[in-house]
Amino acid sequence: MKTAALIACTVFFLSLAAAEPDSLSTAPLPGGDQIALRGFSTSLGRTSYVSSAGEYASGDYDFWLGFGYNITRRLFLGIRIYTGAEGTSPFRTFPYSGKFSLGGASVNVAWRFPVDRRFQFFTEGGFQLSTILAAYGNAAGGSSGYNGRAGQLSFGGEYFLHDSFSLHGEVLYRHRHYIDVIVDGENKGNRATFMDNDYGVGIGCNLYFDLLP
Amino acid sequence: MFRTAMLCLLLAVPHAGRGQDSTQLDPGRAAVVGATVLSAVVAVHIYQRDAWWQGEWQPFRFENDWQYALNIDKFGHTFGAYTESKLARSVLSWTGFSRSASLFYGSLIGLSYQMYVEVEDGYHKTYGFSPGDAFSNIIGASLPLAQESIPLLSHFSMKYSYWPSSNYLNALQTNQFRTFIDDYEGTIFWITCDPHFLLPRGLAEDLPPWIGISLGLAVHHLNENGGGDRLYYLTADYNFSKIPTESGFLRALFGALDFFHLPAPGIGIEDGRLHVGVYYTYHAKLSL
Repeated sequence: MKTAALIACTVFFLSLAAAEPDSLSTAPLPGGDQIALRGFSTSLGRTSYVSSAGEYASGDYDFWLGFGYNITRRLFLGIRIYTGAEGTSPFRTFPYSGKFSLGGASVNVAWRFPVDRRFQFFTEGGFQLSTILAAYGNAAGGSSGYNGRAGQLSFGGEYFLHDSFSLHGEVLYRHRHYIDVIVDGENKGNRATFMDNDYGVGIGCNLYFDLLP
Repeated sequence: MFRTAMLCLLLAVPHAGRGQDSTQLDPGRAAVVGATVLSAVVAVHIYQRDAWWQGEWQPFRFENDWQYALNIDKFGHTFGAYTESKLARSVLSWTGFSRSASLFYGSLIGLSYQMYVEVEDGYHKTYGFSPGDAFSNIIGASLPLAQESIPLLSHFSMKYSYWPSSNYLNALQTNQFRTFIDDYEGTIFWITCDPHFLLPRGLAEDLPPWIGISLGLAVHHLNENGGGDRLYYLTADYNFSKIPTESGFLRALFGALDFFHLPAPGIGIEDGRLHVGVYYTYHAKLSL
């Protein structure tokens, strides 16, 4: 079902690209097509974990702020910094509950599909490094910290309220693979492996600066 | 130390901040700036290694610190990135970079320096890479860009006032490498506003152009558990750069002074009570 949804989204955006008027592909962004402060954005998600302890789920949220550069009208390259939390509850064979503190950063590439001068769809992919720490409560097996890597993909729309200011909404998918040294807690130094699949929605705003030399 | 070095450099650049339409580098000035910045980066790294990065190292990790120092350190990161970006912009302008190039690369330099510190923190057992600090760095470095793009923001600025707190002076007795940058109880961060754009024309013309207002935030009684008291101030402010002068040196001096909030009359809310006085910091004030 989830795979089918991703394929449907991909087909949808590819069809948008095919149907896009030629004039929009070369039109400048309303606020200029140079650098952007992308942020004050938050996303809420539902995470399904697969680990050696069994399958379980958690609710999570993160808040991110980023910046980047519009290489072309369509192509954006940027960095996102994340903060957030994940709350877990006993689920299936996973008997633990607790709350993880989440932090991370990612390098992202976005591709835009302009619909008109004020509105555009976009798809964005990125590679993320993150750490989860059990700041409070119990964590799996007494472990309390992991470093991990993730791939992420999002689809969304962006509307320009002003030449330099826009709002956006997105749906996102993230696959994280925590296979690293435990960085804190009683099992510090041991290696741990577990994975999660994260689905969420996000909203946010963007500021654009047309100031590059 | 870094800020002091940059301040000295700023005072040596009488045409800083004017900006020109195209880049025409002056090789002599570029060499002076390059050597000064390189020396400053090395000196700052050594200083910060002694002040912050002693002790145990770890694999890089992120760590949220939203409860630290009642979040006033986030104002510090914002102010640091903002100040460094503006200083770098002035220095680049002096070396001959165009107005837009100085602005852009100034912010890039300010952000790069702050993020370098944050990445170093990520490897240190005591700190970790703080997403909140990084947010503040991004906002601070973006402010000069935003002020150029959105004229309304040009009426606002950030300033700093500092007087060593007793806790800091006591701590210096046992650890000489403690840095005043972390002395949040001795600091007030200010958001200042030039109110002339809000006033009716007649009133705006009667009010001296160098008079402004400022809102200050400080903390006191910080403890290890994230507790403490917040202090708020609303005072007059001085916009030195609005004082007309033909002297390039005075213009640069006034520009540098505008990073600092000097003692000014106003009101303060300290320990839940309203006070009237002349405020510089919590430890340096005349309270009535």
